[in-house]
Amino acid sequence: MSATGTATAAISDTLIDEIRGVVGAEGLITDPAATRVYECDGFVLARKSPQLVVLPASREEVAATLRLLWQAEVPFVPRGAGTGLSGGCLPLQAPVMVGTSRLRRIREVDVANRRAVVEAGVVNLHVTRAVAEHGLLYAPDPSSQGACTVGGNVAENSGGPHTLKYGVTTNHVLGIELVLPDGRVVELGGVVDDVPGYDLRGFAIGGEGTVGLVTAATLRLVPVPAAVRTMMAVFGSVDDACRAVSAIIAAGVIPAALELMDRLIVQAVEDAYGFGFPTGAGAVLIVELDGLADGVAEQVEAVEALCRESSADEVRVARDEAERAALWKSRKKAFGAVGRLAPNYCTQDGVVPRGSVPEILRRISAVAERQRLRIANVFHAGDGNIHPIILFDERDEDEVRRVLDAGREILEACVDLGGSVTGEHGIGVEKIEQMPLIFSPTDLRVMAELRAVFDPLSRCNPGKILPTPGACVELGAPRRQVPL
Amino acid sequence: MTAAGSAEPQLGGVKTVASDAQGPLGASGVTPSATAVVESADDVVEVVRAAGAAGAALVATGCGARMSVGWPPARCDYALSTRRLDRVLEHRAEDLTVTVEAGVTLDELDRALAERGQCLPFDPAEPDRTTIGGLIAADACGPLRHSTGKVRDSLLGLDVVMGSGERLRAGGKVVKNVAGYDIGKLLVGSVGTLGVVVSATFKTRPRPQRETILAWPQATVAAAIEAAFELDRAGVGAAFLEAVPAARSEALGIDGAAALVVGLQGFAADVSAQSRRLEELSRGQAKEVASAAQLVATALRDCAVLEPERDSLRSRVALPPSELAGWVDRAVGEAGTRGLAIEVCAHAAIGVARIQVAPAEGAATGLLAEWMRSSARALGGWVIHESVPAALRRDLDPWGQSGVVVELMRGVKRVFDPEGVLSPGRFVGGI
Repeated sequence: MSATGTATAAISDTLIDEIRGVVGAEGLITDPAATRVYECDGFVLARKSPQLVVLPASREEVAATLRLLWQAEVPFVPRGAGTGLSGGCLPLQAPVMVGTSRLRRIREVDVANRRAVVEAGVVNLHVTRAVAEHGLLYAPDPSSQGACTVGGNVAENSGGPHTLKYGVTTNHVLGIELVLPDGRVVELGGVVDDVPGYDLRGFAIGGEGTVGLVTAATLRLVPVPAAVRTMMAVFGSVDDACRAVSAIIAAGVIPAALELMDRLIVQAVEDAYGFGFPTGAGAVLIVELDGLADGVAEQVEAVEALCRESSADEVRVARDEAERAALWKSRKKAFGAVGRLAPNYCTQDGVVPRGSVPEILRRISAVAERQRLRIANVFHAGDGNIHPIILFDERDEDEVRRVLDAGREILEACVDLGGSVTGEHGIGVEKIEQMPLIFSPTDLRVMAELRAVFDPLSRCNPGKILPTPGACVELGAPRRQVPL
Repeated sequence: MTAAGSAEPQLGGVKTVASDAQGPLGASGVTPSATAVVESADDVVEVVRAAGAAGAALVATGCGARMSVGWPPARCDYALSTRRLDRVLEHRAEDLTVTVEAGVTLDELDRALAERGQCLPFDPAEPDRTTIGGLIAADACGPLRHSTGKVRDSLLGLDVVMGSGERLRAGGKVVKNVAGYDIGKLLVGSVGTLGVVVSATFKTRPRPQRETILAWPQATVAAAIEAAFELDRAGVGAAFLEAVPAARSEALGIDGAAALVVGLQGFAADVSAQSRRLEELSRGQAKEVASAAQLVATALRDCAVLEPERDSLRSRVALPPSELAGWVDRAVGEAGTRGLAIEVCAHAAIGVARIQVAPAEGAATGLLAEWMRSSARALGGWVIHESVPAALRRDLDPWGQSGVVVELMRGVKRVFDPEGVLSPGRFVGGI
């Protein structure tokens, strides 16, 4: 069964006029030079420009646009800020892209009940900024949170460093307003967490934009913790750092974040931001502890002792908010610093059981050696969510091929260790081929059938997540790099 | 397995035992002709397929503690007991995960996890009679939900036999995973209408270093809810905040018509500090309850469902938290004017209350049930009638869900169970 639409499907002038009637001239992009901006997301190995980009400014405009596309039998792909890392909004078999960049309203902040209703195009970090004065925050914090949108986060079920303690997007979204591919608007979930019926909200979150277009979400807000301490521990090797991670978890401490950077990354980050990491460090662990003041102080001591027992050369607690911010900048912008190491890089997003992190790192080194590549590691050690960064030069065709092979081998190793091929970036087009590694043909068929409940004619983001004959992507060399 | 030709009754090659009206399905109001006792995933596949092939309806059950949830099954030819799926398959303490078969009870699992200093973040009533399968099917929860969320927040993966008789794997065993659609979520709260859970993987958590319970006498349950809301907004980091009625506060040794019961768990330093803070905020009225923490915890957990009274109406209401106290006040008034006795307890700061209406003749109970639903809906909330008196069972919709979303849910049911083998009629919209 192949997807029905193809990217070459004709879009009639009448359809364009009708859509213009809905969204106005300012909500329509047809100029090929301008649509080219939308040719890829953060996964730069695959590119394709949409023929038409529609930017509706309200739920009603989205619904009317999707109805027109439905009637004209034209598939579309939803898009947030385009910071995705798996090609989820690549207009693969859909000529039309529907973007959420004009759905920017924060509709409601309900401080008493700690929730906010925000439109899909609102930037993640702007939610926290809007509620900070009330002592609240929106917990999921992907590294791209200054750019990525809530709608995109819902589509990808995004994570971030603080998911270890707080969970991912699905744990913080009470309800979504979804426009089905035929233009009908449904509310899934609600303002409380006890809505009768199957948890369709839970199914749609992480659906990578294949079940409709999310126009708004009701978000759970959490109180800013009373105390936060962020510390850095320097180790001679990643093995020692991993031992410390295990010891911390075994001691019953659940840090808010537990992030590991290896030698290559530490060096690049130090060169770029000058935080003061010892340049010879084999690994740096960033540990953030939050909660009530007394318990946090107790945990800081415990973690420091455990790090030292695991042979840490140095343990340093950030003195103030400025130092804490500098430390997090080093982590969240680590990918930006990688540009100093090589002209290009691509990153993977595998997951292994926490206890298998040292083993997967060993296997990654072996892959690097075999494929003659440099691979740096900066990742969510507490979740077992690895982000190997493969360095390369796009001008070297043979190297590009080896990069793709290495990525596949690393993901296969993750599955072999009982893990998954993606912890937070999504399948998109990038990892479609790996889906059969973790799911049976029955699992995949059921997924396809469930998706069809929402989108029976594959009109919404066709060719994603599930392997189908028409979904092969020609991977090329990247032209630009987007930080994680 | 018995040899061919044996006289033992079977379904799909799996031994069955005679069912009786008092058995696990009793509360659902139906009696199957026999119960198949499965011991493996293959057994489940065989039984589901055999039932499908015979055009029979099958209802899966653990200990039967929550069979009253939903409409009574439209048909029930066979029951499937998961109680012999009784193994804890893998506790990876270093990963804070556990994979466990569906027939294991929460008490049994808790004992296994305790050996490595961990526990599950769930505390529904009757943990000795709540199996993992039942926990998932009924989306059961207790006071701890205040701090640790619901089943959906800790469930990582499922091994399921769908109504079609096929085996499905949803999610995985790692704590972070976005590969493919999150199918596991659909099974949570599906009351057995999509598939029979064979095993599930959950996040575990470290057992708290210290725990204590404080009780604060209150004039009414509504007042206790108000107090809880205030404490929560004042930043008291409680594990749970339960508003309990007179009968329960007595059991906890508290004088007063109602009480706010506060659970503190965590690092010793935090628990002591919060305990002091609480005494201050309550002006000395909140006091630590007895030292027999286990007894208190049990009494409290059970109060989350009240003392189940035969043929009572039991409902769960969920509202925006700031609306709950006012709504409970009105509900007490509404019940009074109708001559009905109701008892209320609440997960007070998160907007969830459980209501029990004592059995009564006439139409009053049904009218109160309708009032509860419409008044809650007007505030953006929902009411699920979890146990409905026999006289109302045909007419009172336990769910109250309708519209396009129910159409989508029917589509989901067709994918899992095209022939309608599993628990037909129990769910939303008669699914």
